[in-house]
Amino acid sequence: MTLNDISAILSCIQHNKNTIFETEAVEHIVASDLMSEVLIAEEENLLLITALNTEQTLRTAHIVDALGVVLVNGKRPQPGMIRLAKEFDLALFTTKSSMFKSCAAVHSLMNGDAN
Amino acid sequence: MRKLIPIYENQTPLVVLELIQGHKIKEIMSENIITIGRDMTMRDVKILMKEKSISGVPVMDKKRLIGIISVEDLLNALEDGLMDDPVEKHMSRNLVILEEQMPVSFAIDYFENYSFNRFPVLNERKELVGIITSRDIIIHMVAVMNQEIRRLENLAKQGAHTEIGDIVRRYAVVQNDFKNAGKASSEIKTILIKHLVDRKTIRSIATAVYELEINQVVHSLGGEILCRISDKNVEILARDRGPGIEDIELALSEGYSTATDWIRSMGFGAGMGLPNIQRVSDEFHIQSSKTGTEIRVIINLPDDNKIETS
Repeated sequence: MTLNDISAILSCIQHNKNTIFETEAVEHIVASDLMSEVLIAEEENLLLITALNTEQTLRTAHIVDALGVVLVNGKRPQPGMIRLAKEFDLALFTTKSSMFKSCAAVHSLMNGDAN
Repeated sequence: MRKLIPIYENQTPLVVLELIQGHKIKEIMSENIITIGRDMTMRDVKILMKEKSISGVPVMDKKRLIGIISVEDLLNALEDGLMDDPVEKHMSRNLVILEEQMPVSFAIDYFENYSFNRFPVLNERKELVGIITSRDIIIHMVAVMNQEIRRLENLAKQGAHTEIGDIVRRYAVVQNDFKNAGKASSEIKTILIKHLVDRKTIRSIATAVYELEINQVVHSLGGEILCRISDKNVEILARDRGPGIEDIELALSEGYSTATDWIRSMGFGAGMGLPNIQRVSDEFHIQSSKTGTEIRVIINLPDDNKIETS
């Protein structure tokens, strides 16, 4: 399951594609709007799903070496976010799906029972 | 239009921002104010202002501020031969006021945006408590600049005494400045990646620095983060100027937070900041009083990860 697969299933707009978005496998998902809860994660190859559209989302993703960020609920990235996504080489996607629907869809995809 | 006073430009150093945002108008205004009643004549005001060498005087109706007489008002009255009029007829009633709890940066903005030479300062009960002129700002800010530069110079000298090869960085953190929070951890992370420290250790160090930055932005009046990277460990010292943590034990428990809804809307205040820092640290020391909180964290580098810091 790559970032590109996730992007497809959530009909994402891709604001920044990083160098590995089609190749590296996403192994873990962290979904939260509170960044300290994201920082607890110790897994590698993370994807961060959140409704928080501030620059701190990207900084947090950078610290935990996430592969990318998906903003849910149709949130649009603040201008500084795209700049930081490029600087940190992080994928930055947005989807109109809610947090719950996004997580459910990605969960299905992870378990291989999506269409 | 280009600003005359060069603050809030992209390149404004953090230390300067910290100085103008970290000090309150209350600290620098003149508190010994001479005021006059609405019935005083312009002639008497002229004598008063000359005697006291002041260029503007607030007009009061009992405890309420109703206007200001400036030298310009006097000149106009003089020209029109109206010096026996009560001040009420000539004072400026369009008052632009400042509040004593505002940061000094507000006063600087006001001097940029309005042509007035002085602003009355009110307290929370809307009572007149002082007056601020550009002279007050110069006197006070030069004094705090001297202090700060001296401190930085001493710090630089101390830096020379650190073990040869250590990398030392200092970052100023400004209260409520969410925009710049995280810059220290990004930079430290970049340095550590260059020195080939393993990813897991970098993640711990970046997490600690980041949470310490956020803590100061959210909870303190401003402060600084010092990082020293040696070949054995990374030492982070975060100290702020208050108001201090009331109950440290409570603050260290997971999920406890004093954050407001606004802070939560910025993605923080989960009550995981200090516990997160403790979790990634090999050593964690904290002390706090009303005048400030100091947190010292040490994170060891793995033995096979001797970095060349020269």
